[in-house]
Amino acid sequence: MSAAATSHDHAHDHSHDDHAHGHHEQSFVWKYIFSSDHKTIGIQYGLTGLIFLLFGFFLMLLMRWSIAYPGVPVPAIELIRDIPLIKDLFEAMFGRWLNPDGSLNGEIYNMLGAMHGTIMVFFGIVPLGFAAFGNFVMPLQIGTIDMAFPRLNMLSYWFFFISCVLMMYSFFVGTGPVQTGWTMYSPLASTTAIGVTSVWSHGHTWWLTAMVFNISASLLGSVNFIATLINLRTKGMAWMKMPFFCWAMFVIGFLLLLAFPPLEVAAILQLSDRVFGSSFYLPTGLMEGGQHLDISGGGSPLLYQHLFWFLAHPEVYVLILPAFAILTEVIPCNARRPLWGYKSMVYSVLTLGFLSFLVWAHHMYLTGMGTMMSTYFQITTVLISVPSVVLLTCLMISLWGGSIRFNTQMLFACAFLPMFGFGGLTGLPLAFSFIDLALHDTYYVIGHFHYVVAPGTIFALFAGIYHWFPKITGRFMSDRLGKWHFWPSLIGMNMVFLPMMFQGMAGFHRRWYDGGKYFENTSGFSHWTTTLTHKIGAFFGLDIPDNMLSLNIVMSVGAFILALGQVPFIFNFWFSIKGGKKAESDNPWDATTLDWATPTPPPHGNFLFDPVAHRGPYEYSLPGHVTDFYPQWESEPGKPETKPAADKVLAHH
Amino acid sequence: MEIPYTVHARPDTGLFNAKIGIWLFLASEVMLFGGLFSAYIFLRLGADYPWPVHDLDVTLGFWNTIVLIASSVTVVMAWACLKLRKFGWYRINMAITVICAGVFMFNKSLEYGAKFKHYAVKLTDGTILTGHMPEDEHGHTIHYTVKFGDVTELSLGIPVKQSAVTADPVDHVLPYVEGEAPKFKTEDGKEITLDKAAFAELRAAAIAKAKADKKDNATVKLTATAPFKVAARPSEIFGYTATTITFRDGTTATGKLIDDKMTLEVDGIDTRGVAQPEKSLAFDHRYLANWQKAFVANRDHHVSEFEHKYPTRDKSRSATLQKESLYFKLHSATPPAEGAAHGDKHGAEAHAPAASHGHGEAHHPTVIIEKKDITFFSNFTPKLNTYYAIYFTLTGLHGAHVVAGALVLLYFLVFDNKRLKKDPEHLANRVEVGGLFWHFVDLVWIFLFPLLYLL
Repeated sequence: MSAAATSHDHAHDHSHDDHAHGHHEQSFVWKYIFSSDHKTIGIQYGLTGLIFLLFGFFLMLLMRWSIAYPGVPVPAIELIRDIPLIKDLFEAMFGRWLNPDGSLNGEIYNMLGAMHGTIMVFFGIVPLGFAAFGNFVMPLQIGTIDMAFPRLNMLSYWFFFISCVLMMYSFFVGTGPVQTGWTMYSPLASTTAIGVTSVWSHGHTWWLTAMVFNISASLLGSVNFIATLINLRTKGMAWMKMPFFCWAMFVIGFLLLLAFPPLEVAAILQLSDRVFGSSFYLPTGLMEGGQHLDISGGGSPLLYQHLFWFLAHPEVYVLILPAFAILTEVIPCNARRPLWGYKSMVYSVLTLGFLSFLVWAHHMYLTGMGTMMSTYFQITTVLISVPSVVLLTCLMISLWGGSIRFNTQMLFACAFLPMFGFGGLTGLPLAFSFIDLALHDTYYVIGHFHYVVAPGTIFALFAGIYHWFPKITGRFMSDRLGKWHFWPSLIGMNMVFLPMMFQGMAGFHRRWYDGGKYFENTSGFSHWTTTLTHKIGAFFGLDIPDNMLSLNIVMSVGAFILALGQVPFIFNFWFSIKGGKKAESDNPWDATTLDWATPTPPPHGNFLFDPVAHRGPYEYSLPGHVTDFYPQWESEPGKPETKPAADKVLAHH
Repeated sequence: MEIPYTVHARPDTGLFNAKIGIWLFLASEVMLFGGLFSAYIFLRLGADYPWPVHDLDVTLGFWNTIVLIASSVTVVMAWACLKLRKFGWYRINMAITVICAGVFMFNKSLEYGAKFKHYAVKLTDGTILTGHMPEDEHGHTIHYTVKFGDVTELSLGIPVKQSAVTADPVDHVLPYVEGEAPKFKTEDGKEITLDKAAFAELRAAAIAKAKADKKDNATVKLTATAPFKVAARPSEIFGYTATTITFRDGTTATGKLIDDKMTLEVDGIDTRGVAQPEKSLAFDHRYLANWQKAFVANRDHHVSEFEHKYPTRDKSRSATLQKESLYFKLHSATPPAEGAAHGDKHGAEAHAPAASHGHGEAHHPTVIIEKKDITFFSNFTPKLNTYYAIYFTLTGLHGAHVVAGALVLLYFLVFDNKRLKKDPEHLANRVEVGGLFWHFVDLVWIFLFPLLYLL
């Protein structure tokens, strides 16, 4: 930190208020809490995102318990209810909804389901994938000192933080959090099933208010990302010399910028329906509990779905593109091979971004919007699979002939490829309206989507954490603990999501809180997967019935294995910050991109020299070169640029 | 440490950072308002009621358009003057811009204010009566309330766990008591004055007792020492029957329903939703039977005029004709003499501010509508119908943008003098960025005005 800070000191006489920081040693608060440094903000986003991922996962564990063992008290519930403080917190958030015996009911299951989706998507993966990695890595990779608008960046994080607080607050209000699924479909979400003293004791109102802040945060973030990428690329960093990571962030920025406002509209209109009693999404003659509602009617629930999915489909690509961004760094670096088909990947990701705005209504085949519409969206949906396949294929071919280092991040990366492939391919049938009509809202859809984001995106995020950890902290995460993290995660994920495919095709609906027990007569048939489960259970002396319901137990055991698998990660993460093996070099993985040209950890202002991009970002195993990597910043082999960075500061004035 | 290209443009892109930023932001704003405009189209195409046409005051809207366009000119002038370093002219132009924003918002508040005082009541047959609630001698609106008398007993439900509805009589019952707040007796005969502290005590005792009895809900009964009256607006209570009234905190009071009729000074009869308009419930002998003749005369006049002017056009497809012939405006307390003015020829009618109503001679007939005839009522707010819902959302968000933009420009004018002296080029960049936003706000209005006022 201090090395870079002092080297800038002679720039004092420029009195722009943009750099009130940097002149003096910042106090703790300004350095770590209200920081406008892109790296600190990235870490803030990252930690918040990780905590929410864990919390969302915990919600899912509760759900899985109810699915596998409906009506059975949650294990250790009495224990939790005895711990002081935790007891009260648990009681206010979940306990007050449980049955008297401590088992789950449909009401809390719906809350858990809605909040699991909301938290994982909007508070876990997007902040971690886009905001955290993007904020930390992207400005380093394009060789700039910070984002274009550092204070806006800080504001973005704090808007996000407010939205986190509001969203968590919804657990504590009168009705508890939302119960209508993460999609918040109207009219269910626009009316109040239970009378409330004031709209503010309703969890929906808080959900919507939180989303307005969340959307504003991502809007500020995306403006910042795009402006930075356009205007702050360092000397020599032409568009096609930019690492693919930055291209992906560029496209995500546009997706967030243009797709989120319609969701904001959807949220504002729904908020108006709730608070001002308007009828945007409420049709004429709507009744609830046998009574006409006190509304004018005349609106349409379809309007909500269109506005919502106009965001939420691009959002899917906001979830998956950070994964590709990270893997295009991790895979070439650890395969010691250039990224195969860099340019086709760039064009593909741009195409993908464009097409993602034209496919939203494939979530709405069942709404009866008409066969013409369905046909149109069917075509665009099938089209969009082409660029996705190009991206995945390029990553796979990049492995060909490489001398692969199987460190933890590479394990996660290698597991991503087939897992995402599986998620993607199971999505293809859903693109066709006639198949979707049968599979809509079944576990098949849940399985498909989770294969894309869980062993897909989340594995890539893990890979990214292991990869950049030495740059962030100066220490490695333990490889051994990493492997203990990887294998249970891989096994657990597949045990959770693979049986969903079978259950889904058997017609299991995604919102059954009892996992289908109520429909035992119709869901009680057996299948080779259930017979297998039965036999494996018998081997361990367990009596698991030979019918589709038994898969619920498989999945819940899988979730438990997955939970155990995260324990080594949490240990590894926190203990390696101070106790991990020290990284001796600023470029411990022998990588080629500019983020590895900074001191470790990167100081305020990032670079000690004026970085110039001399070549493309993936010059690995270059024939005739002395080492198997040729970094972007070296003008001649082994000779880093040494021009002091301070000159750059002056050059702009 | 200095972020590059904050003042001067990067040579290869030709842009300084903030300019990229604002254009991206505006792209996102286009999507925001695009979403709202799409919602407007969606709602209008799917409307299953006569979409209000020509309901707003075009004159006011027109002058607001002029004001906003003028401010867009002055903000460019301000920027140009700053570039030329004519600081005096910069200040003047900037000040005019901000003043224009103030004028715009003032006009907007007139428009909104009139709507909040204007009511529409939908009768069971689909007729909509528009008008105002009566006013007391101070000019305050006397709202429609449900009145209960002989109330003696309050039943308060207190769930043990945190819940959406829990008794809070101090905030949700006492405000609706007419006259002095009564004293209450608790179940064990103690006499209390119901206030926050006393209720908190009661509540704590009730919860403790329920917990001891392993119950989820506690009930507290309070008996008033003397019967009292309550009057509450329907939005302030959950519901009522002939003998009980339930407040929004779940508290139930027993008593006797005195009155739930609505008094309305009618200024319009909208029969577009009625199969046989001349037999509308509005012309029932209890209500406006003496206006039926005038209504029919007005309708026939407009229909024959339309037939005369546009012999080839389909009458049923003219929203304007529907409105002029079937939405009858009342301009006096009694029906006009036969052959007199045929209602409002031009349809487009400013809902005059309520100040002109109620005092002195009556301008409108007053009717007392029975509860059983009312299906729905609202003032002219988002609740009234989807047109007013999208109208308020669009203009409200636009208004928020006007205020935000004006505050930013005002900041440049008042608080950025240091930059003006030391780095006018940087300030010019800022004004340019603020001006681009201002133009966008103007542009949105250019779309809003025809969409909401003219179409």
